[in-house]
Amino acid sequence: MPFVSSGIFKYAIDLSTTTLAKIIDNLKKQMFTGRLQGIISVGKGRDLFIAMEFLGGRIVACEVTITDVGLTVKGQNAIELLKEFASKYVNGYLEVRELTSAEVDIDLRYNSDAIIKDETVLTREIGVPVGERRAEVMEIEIEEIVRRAKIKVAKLEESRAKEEKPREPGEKVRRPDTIKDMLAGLERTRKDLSHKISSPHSWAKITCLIGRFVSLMKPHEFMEYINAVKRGAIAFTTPFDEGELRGLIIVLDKPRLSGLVLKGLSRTISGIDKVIDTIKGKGVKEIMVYEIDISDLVKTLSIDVESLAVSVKEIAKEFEAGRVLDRDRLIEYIKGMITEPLLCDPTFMTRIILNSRILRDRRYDSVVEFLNDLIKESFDSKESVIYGTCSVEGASMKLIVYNGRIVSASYMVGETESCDLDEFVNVLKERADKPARGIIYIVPKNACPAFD
Amino acid sequence: MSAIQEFGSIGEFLKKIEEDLDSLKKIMGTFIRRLEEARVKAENEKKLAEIFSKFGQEVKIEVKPIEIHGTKIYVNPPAGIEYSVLESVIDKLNRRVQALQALHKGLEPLLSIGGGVRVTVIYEEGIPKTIILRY
Repeated sequence: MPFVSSGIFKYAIDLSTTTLAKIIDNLKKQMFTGRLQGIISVGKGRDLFIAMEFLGGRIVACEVTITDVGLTVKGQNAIELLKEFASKYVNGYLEVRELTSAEVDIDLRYNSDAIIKDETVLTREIGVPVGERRAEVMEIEIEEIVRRAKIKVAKLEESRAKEEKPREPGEKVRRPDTIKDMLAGLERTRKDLSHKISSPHSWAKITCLIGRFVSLMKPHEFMEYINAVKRGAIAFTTPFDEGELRGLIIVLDKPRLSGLVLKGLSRTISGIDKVIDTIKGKGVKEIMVYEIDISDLVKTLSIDVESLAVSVKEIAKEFEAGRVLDRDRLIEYIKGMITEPLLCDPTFMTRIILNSRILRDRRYDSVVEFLNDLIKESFDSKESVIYGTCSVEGASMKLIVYNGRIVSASYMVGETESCDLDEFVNVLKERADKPARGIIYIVPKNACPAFD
Repeated sequence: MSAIQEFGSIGEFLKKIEEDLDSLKKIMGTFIRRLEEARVKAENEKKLAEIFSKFGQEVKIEVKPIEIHGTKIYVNPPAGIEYSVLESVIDKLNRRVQALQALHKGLEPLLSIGGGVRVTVIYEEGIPKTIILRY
């Protein structure tokens, strides 16, 4: 896997005016932390894609791809290859991208093959112009390097093939031929995925491709960071069990946050609190955070970021028009909500109960009928908080609705009580058509500071 | 209930407050469920009384408890009594939760003191009333 952090572009260098050795020398003097990368032409139609990472002026990782043969050499082998051109004027440009030390750490974790173990030898050989130390530099022809690299790659592929399931006779595995091919492939993948964006897992996954790595954070720092963001998207990924947990949080208008999780849990969790609780609950200690511009999400992935809210708005219009919703439409409406765990906060509940007035206490033919009544009441009594409880076979459900929007929902089955909206929806699905006793309360808005 | 407890650090004490808060919230949750049930019953009783009064029938819901050394005993009380008893208990619990939450927030800056501080806490009615720090 190549380096994952994108970093911040600082400047580009024309290699026809200086040498790689001089550039490296300067970066060392500056105690540079970041990546030097770009494509250089070494003649005979041969281009090298170079990526070299520095940490406090030390070269810590290096990766070189010989584009015409589609081979990548990493670590010490890549350095051996670069020695041949370090002090020559060649055609090509290199860009200097600044990274934080945490970003470099992450890159090293993801691209561990590229790590340079013996940095002292390497700096002496690469960092000094050839004219001064040419005699000490080991002479290796590029063809020899290519030959060695080919052998290594062949061995690697052979061992991977053994791990994978056997292929059909005649079936070929297509490998990208050049960097351009690889980039084109990546672009195709992005386009392809953008059309299948309905799955939040793939959504979250590709977000990491267009995001800018911010830093490694602890869960509480992550929460503070999210609170500071007013509008944008944050993608995160964090180790989980033996896999990885990925998520995407879109901040549209504070405090309305939308969270989508998570590969590794094989389900999606909506609602920022649930996302954070899940992360904390899984004992995650470090979160890798990416920042994404919403316009990038829209442009690159053709995502209608507002679409989440749109469907809910459409259903809300139906409510306002006095229409009674059927089971599926109602569930869709509730699923589209972003709720807060207010109903699991006893202090808040005390305030609600002590300040509310019972509007209706009756038996309903179904939970769906009760919910229709509750939400409709909220649309009719604008600027009041409506609280409803419903007892149905084997469960009880509570909801707080404000201006037609479900602010909090909780359920209780046996001794289990939760404000998790996904679980609430599951409980509702199982009992939606069953008869229920429902009580609807009205709460003065000033009794609920959360709604001010 | 009064008690004295010692902690090895501010962090340890804050953790104890969080544990106390969790357990208080659980207790409150149970009481709130009972309160909601009692409230609905009380409202129905009230409505019934109103309906009877329209027919000229006065329904008295007053019940005097038997007191034994300050403890009240009710025999088959109406739901309204249960409601007001629970309401007062929940109110006390709620005050305790709020006091602990405020204390937790107020003590957070002291976390920067780090280790080497011994904390002695004197509790009165479950709430820390005096905190003694020793280096």
